Amino acid sequence: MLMSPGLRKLVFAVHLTLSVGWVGAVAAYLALDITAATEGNAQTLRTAYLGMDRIARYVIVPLALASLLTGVIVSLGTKWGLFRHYWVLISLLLTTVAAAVLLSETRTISLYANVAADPATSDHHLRALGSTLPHSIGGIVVLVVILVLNVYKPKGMTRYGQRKERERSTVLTP
Amino acid sequence: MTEPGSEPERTTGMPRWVKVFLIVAFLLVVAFVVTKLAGVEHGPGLHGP
Repeated sequence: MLMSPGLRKLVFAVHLTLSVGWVGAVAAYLALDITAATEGNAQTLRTAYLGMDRIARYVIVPLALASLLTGVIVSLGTKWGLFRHYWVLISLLLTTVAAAVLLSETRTISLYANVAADPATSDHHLRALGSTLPHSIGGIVVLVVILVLNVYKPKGMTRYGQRKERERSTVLTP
Repeated sequence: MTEPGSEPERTTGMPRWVKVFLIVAFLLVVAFVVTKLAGVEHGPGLHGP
């Protein structure tokens, strides 16, 4: 069911805000992750791990889930559809994978934060924790790919989309 | 970020960019599986004490 132009723009504005916010939040997380990977000072490491946990749990995860949800709503409420165009389908796939990896990674981040928050954790143990850098770099690359797909909207209809187009043409031209 | 105002365009067949995307995705999955089979640790266990 297609949405009215006013509603479409409203939902699209919300979706755009959430999606760009997701990229920004991951960039902020990445700064702390790089700190965790390179910093030797134990106090800075503790702060970085706790910050990463807060950003991931209270900013990135809600933005990711809300972005996925509003993306589906926008797609279904417009002529683009969810499965008609390759760029929409691939964006959906990448967003779903990114959100799933994020949810899985949140457990690791919480584990690091709990270790960092424990006063009994030695500085040596803290430095040995490491970072989640491969995931955060991979995550931001995937998000940028999705963003580029959504801006350029490369041509290409799925078989389902082509069938729907043929059906629509048949209805419009008796 | 589906833009509501734009008109979808019609094309036939799978475009080249989709094929390239699928090949890259397949190679990444293969690389991931190979690293797992090679016994490379992944996740919190990698940095444990």
